[in-house]
Amino acid sequence: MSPLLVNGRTEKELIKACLLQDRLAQRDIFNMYAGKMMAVCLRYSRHRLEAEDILQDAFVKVFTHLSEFEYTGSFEGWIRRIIINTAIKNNQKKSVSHEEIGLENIKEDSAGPEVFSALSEEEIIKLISSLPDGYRMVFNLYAVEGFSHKEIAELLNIEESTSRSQLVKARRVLQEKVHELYRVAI
Amino acid sequence: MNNIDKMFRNKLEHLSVDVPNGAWENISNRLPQQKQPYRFWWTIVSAFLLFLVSYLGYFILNDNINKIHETNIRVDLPIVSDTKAGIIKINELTAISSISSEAIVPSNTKNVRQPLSEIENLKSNDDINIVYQDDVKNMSGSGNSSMAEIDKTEELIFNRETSETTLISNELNNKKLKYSRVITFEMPYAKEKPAKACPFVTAHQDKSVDVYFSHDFPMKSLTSVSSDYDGYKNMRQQTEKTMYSFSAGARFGYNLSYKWNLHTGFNYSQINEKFEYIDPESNQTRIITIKDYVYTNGKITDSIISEEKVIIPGTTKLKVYNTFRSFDIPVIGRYTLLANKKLSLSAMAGVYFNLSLVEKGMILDSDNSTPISITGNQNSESDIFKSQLGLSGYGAISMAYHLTSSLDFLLEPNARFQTESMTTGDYPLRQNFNTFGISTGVRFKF
Repeated sequence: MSPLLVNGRTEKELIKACLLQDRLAQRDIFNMYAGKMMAVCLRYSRHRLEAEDILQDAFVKVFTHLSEFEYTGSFEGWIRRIIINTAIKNNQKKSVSHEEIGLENIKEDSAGPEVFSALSEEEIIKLISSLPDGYRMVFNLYAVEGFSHKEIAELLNIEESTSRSQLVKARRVLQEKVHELYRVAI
Repeated sequence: MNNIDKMFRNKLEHLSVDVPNGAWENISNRLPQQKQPYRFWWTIVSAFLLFLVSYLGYFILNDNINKIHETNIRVDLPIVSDTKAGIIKINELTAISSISSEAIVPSNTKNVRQPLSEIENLKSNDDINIVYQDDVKNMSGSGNSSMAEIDKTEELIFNRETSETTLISNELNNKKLKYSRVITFEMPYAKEKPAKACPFVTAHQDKSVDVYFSHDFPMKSLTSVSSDYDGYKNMRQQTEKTMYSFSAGARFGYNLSYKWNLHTGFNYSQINEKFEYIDPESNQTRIITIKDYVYTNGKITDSIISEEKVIIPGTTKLKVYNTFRSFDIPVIGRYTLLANKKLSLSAMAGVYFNLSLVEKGMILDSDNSTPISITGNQNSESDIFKSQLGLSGYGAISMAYHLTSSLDFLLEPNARFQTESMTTGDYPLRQNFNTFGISTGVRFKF
């Protein structure tokens, strides 16, 4: 299979050109991945403006640290990792303390997986964005990105047990919110 | 991972959404600015130097009023009978100057004869005192009174380029003036020898040899044959940067006419540039020597040495200095714009016939954008660059400072333009170098 060409250049050629500060190549790389990365940013932020800031900060890092990309994995994965790190740092910079929701507030008749399947991507992103910062981070990292609790603990500078409990709480909050949505829809 | 997690991952993992407008512009503004090409500054510097030399040359040459006139100077000499000798002072000589009778001022000088040799040795801008002696027996009157016997006005015509002082003297003496008089001329061109400025005097010193060295600042032009190669062109522009270059040579000059000269000879030019490339996929192969010891009863009894190749991925920065050497025959015409005894200013234009072009160094390959050698006898060279450049245009402003009657110091802001691409027709980019330079040298005239 021949490599994907963007304006006559493969991804590898674009990366090489970006290393030389070729602005056209940088724009091509941005256009290639911006849509996917914006979706990632939306999941890690509470609103769209925050997601846009993360996206821009992250892509500036991508281009200024491109020489550190070692081709050991996919370029998309490398960019995604920078997006996630940027989102985490952005979250840590916030002076607002993490919101905490006790397990006792979660209702027992939460929605099941079949209800989630009926939701659109936009609704799911909105649901995740509505989670408290700590829950949102842990849920994204574990459920979507596939990090282990140990890795999450290192990334967020928290205990592994904290990561586990926040994941459980995040799931339950999501179920609760979906249940409410479903009930309103009915 | 439970079912909810899986459902989220499946729905979100490859999700793509609209990107906000203006996001790229904001990012682009925050990225390191691409460096302003240095050729912009060199263009400004070259233009400034060209202007400076032209201005200085013009200013110096015009500081003296010694402009070259090819016309005769006509002096209308009045015949005046005055009681005392007169002084005629001509403040300004133009192509045609007249001395009216009113210009005669009484003087007490009389019966003085100045040796002609002294007159002849006078140089430009010096006053020439030409004294005429005639019969003083007819002199009458004294003090400020004058006889004012003006019978007629005679006309003297003499050529500046001849021995005009002698001519004047002889002509005036032939008038058999009644009374002594002193006539003072400002004669900028009253000199025995012609100005040792360019152009050469065709009678002698009509040949010359120039030896020069030029400090060159090249500007590279890359043009892609189709838009498919714009990316490759950008990469080459980013990896190659022109540097200080030079040219040197010798040329023979022959004076064709009063102001026209023809020069030809031999020129060597070397254009330098720096090729810098960061290879993000550079794998370094290292050989590791492994020594395994064999123990028997706790003691080393033998050892086994083996070698293993290890490939270490990394980034390599490649820096190569490229050179483009050309050997040319210049054929240049030179026209003298202004000249005096110290300086001359000429305009030069002509062509360089290229004999040979030799490259050395590295550029990016048009197929896979990896570095390849362009050095003469190595690969790919024959496919990319021509071995001969064809014609180049040359233009210069040449200022010559006359050190001695046969030796000039030269200062020449110059420009050279390649009319043809250095690359072959098979190569997807057209490459030209245009250079601006400041040339210094000496001119021997014989």
